[in-house]
Amino acid sequence: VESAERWRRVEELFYAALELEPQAAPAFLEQARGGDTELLREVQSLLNSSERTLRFAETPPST
Amino acid sequence: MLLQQWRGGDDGALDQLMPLIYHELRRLAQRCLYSERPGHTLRATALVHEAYMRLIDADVEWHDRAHFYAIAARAMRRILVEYARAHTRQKRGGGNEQVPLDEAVLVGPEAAAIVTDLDDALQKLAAIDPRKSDIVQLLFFGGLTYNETAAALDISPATVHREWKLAKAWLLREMGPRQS
Repeated sequence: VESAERWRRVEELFYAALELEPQAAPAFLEQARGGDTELLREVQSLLNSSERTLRFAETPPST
Repeated sequence: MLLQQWRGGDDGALDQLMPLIYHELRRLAQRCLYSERPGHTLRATALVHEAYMRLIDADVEWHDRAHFYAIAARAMRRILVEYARAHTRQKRGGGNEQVPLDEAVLVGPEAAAIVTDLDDALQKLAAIDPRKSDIVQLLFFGGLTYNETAAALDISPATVHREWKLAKAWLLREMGPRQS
């Protein structure tokens, strides 16, 4: 269960990372996480999931 | 008449319209869902607009229209989940298709499973962040545009856009890869 404060942090980092070039995101997150490995993992997994979304959204419907 | 009260600026009247809107959408949905033609698709967007035209069919303030759509989106979600729950029991799994979450809900065993998974995930998201769950409900089940969603929630379209991205990523992760 996410605390409100933590969720807000995740959001901030997620939006900030989306603004960056994909190559720049890992370094940014590494620096921004402030030693919080869990936070990094959470944001990273959302970013991965978001890339997956984009990729699929570009796939034309099969039917 | 409720519709007139609503146009007169009584927001409460529109909330009382929920059963009426639900009923009308359900009727329209059934026409698609239970039609004999297999593979017939249901687009939430089209149905909600049709219900709007039938029930309101008048020039109303933009804000009021957004309110109507917010209620319709809630009703649409309920209808699709009810339908999906009734139809997923027989068959589940088999596909490993990823949900795009960009097009309103379609019909079929795979789509029915997606709708119920999405509904479950959306309830979890609502517990963490109700606004994001509202955004998804309006965009996905109500077929609203970003601007309409923004008006309905009284936030900026840029916020809708941004939060939709996060909500989508969160939901897809929550729903996991659909594998047999």
